[in-house]
This record gives sequence, structure tokens and C-alpha cells, in this order.
Amino acid sequence: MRAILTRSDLFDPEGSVSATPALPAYPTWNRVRGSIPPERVIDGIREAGLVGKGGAGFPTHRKMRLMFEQPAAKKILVLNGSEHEPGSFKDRHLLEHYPHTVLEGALILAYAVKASEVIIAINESLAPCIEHFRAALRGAQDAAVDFGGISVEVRVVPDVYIVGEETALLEVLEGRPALPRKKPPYPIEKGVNGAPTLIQNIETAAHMPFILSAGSAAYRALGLNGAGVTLCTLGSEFQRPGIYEAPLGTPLREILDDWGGGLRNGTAIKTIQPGGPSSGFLASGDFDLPLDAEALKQHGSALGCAAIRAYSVDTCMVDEISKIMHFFAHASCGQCPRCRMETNMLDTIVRRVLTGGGNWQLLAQVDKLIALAKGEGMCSLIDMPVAPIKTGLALFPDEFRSHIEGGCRLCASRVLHQ
Amino acid sequence: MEIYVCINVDCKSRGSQETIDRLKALLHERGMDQVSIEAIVCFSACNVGPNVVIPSKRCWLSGVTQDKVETVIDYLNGQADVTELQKSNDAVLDQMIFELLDAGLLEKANPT
Repeated sequence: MRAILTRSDLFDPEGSVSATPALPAYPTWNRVRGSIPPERVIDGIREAGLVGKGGAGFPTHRKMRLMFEQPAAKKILVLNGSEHEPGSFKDRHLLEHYPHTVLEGALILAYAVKASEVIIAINESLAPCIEHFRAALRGAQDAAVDFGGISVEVRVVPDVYIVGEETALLEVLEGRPALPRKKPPYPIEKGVNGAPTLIQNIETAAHMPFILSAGSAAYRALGLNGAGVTLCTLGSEFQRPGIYEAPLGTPLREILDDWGGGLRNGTAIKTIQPGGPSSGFLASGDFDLPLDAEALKQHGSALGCAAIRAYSVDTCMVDEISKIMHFFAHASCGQCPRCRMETNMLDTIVRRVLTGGGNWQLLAQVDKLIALAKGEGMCSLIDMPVAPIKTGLALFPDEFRSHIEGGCRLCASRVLHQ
Repeated sequence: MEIYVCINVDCKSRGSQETIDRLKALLHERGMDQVSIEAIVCFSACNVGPNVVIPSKRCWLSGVTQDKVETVIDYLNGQADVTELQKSNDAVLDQMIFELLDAGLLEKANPT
């Protein structure tokens, strides 16, 4: 049974706007606003066990409750559709193919926390998402769907990684560069133009209609671990890449082999990152683990936004880790000295090892750099290189040794990637 | 010999580019063209920048604005004391940067 990816009724299979869209009647939204008090909606989300789908996994009901309790007359809900996490395509899939589900979920969320304005922030690089969501919004308005006084606006935001950080998104929405803010105050206290602002991921909103229609118990029961479902992205390295609605608790091996069909090039999978580039590597011995936030955390990894990246036995992991370190060094906005130091030093160190100029003494500095940076950043980016470099060093010492001692058989070349 | 100057945003905003320009001019003026100026990866001593590291002297100098460049060059020639340019150095960062230097952070990468 699918809870999220159930209908794509506005668009034909090619993704263009259908001539005769069968506009859903927003039945759940109408029932919720007509008969369920906001606090009861929040209770239902708590009972469903829904956590934010942007990557941090914070319990959604707790943010909703805090927002609900804000006394301000004007409160804003922002759905973050910037989706900059490399390898994640779920939010754009929802915006492009399930815009009504997102919109209905947004209305339910806004109603529950008493927000009068909804801002859907969409990455400027995702033209089809912008077009389709706007078409769905117009369709709903033209069909006189009653938004209950809630305004909904689409805002196009820059294609910059740090916009995924909620306070950087706030800066962008106020017309400034994407630089994270110090917290507190938290966005729920002081967000867009000073108004209390609840920021949720696009997918989080898309879970609302099912939870409020089928019930919290039914939602939980979708998961093999009793925690519902999550959307996951299998990358282009798989035989069958794409967006999958995964019951939480599904064994990773089932997702990798049965759903994804293994690697496109036919080689065995050496390791995966189950939650995007900031998640720790898992060795093949861990592929029987369930897709479950706690289980993955216990093994040094993370569920994150469930963008699953698989690496072949033929892939040099020093090269791959170097690319990840380079990515985070460039993604750091540079505001926090320790973040700038850590991300750039890790990038430099791994690249030196990759290009044959490294040694064990240099790699021994990694833990010290990470310790020096811990807790010193305004946002979570400072933590992002930590799991991949630490698990990478622990799982692939022989590959680092090959580079240090000269002669990595897996590297086709030692061309420095820029 | 190399002199490493941080050119990251904070050090730059504190005048590291002017420091580099002055260093180059003065080194040339004094016939010390064998000394090269290089960029160093930010080591988060931003609040005391512009930061200058001289690996061969195991020396980190902070607050090296262009007016302090002459002192740095005199120091290279054994004619000046730079205690004043080290008084703001953080001990933890001091240890970190030299451990990284000892480990070969700044050595030229194998071109192969």
C-alpha cells in the first residue's frame, strides 16, 4: 500500500499538464478543517511518529506544538523545496508529480499550527517543479478549493547548497545572501520578517494527507518497524534508479538488490551511504540492517534524506571521500572560522593522500581537527564531513595505504579533481 | 624559503592582500626574491588575522598588517623580534598548525 505516491492526477506520464486534470477535492483537508481541532491534528502527527524528512529527523509534532503555542497573530509556514542534498530527488519528484498532495499537506500543516501564510520555496534550477506546483495551485484556486483564509505563495530560491539550512533559507526569503543565522532565536520564535515561522521539508508535508485520512495507526503500520514510510532515492549507479516509497524497517539489501537491481555495471556493491553524502559508509556486512534511523545511527551512519548512494567494489574510496570532502569545503559558507578550517583542512589532507603526497601522520590529524571544530558552527554543515571521513578511514584503511605507499590499483588516474 | 599568508575572507578583510603586496615589494627591494609568498589553508585564527606562517622558522605571526611587514622581513634576516606579533596567538591553534606542518600539509603534492 502506498501512502504518499498514490496519485499524480494533474499531469500525464510525461509530466506535462494534462488537458483535463482531475483535480482532487482535497477531501482530507476539507474534513480536517471542518471537524478536527488543530491540537488534535498535532496529536495525530505525534501518534503517527512522523519525523522531518529533510534529513535531521526531528519529530514533526514537537516543532508543530512549539509553533502552535506561539501567540503571534501572523505566523508563517515555509516548505523547503530547495533539495540541494546531492543524490536526493524526492522533493522535486513530489513537487513535479504530486503537487496536490504537497499543497493539501501544506494546508493541513498551516491549519494545525495556525499559520496564515504558506511559502513554498523551490530551487531555481527546478523549472518543472516550479511550473507544475504553480499550475496545481492555480488549479485549486480556480476550482474554488477553500483554503480557509490561508495564503499560499511560491518563492524561487537560489541553487546554493546552504539554502537547505533553515536559517539560511530565512535570509534568502528576506532578500539577503544565503548565510545561516545564529540560533536562538529559532525560526519558530522569529522567522521570516520577524514572524514565527515553521520550516518543514516538502516531503514532510506530503505525509499529512495520508496520516489524517487513514489514521496514525495505519500510517505506523506501513512500516516494518512501525514507523511509517519514507521516500528514498536510488542513484543512477543502480539498474533501476528512482524514487521509492520505502516502508521504514525494510532491509537495506532488499532495497539495493530487489528494488534497485544492483549496480548498473554489474559489479558487486562494496559500500553504501544510506542518507546522502554526510552519512557514514556502511560495509556490505551491514546490508542486512533495516532502513531505520536508530539502527543506522548505531552503525555510524544516518537515514538522512534517504538518498542512497552505492559504490562498486571497483571504486577507489579515497577518491570518493576526497570528492565528498571537496564538496563540503565548497558548500561551507565561510562564516564560522572553525567550519572553514575543518572543511578546508579535511579537503586538503584527503586530496594530498589521493595524489600521493600524504602520510599516516597527516591522516592522524583528522580526529584532532574534528574535535577542534565540534560544536563551533552556527549550522550543521560543520558536522557533515565527519561521518564519511571517519567511517571511510575505519572501513577502507587498505585503500588509504595504497595511496600512501604508492599504487592504488583502483584509480584509473590520479588526476586532481577540481 | 616560503612565507604563507592566509587569504581567506576574514584575513582578507583585515588586509592580507595589502600584506602580500607589501611583502612582495619589500622582498624585491631588499634582494630577497628567493623568498616566495604562498597561500595557506584557513586554520581558523580569523579573529587575529592577517595570519602569516613561516614553516622554516616554525613561526606563526598574527595581526600582520602591511605596516608590520618590515618587522617580518627584519626577523627573517635575524634583525627583529616578533614577540609582539605572537602575543595574540591561540595556544591550541598554535599546536595544531605546527602538527599539520610537521605532518607535511604544505609539501608540494606528488605531481604524478
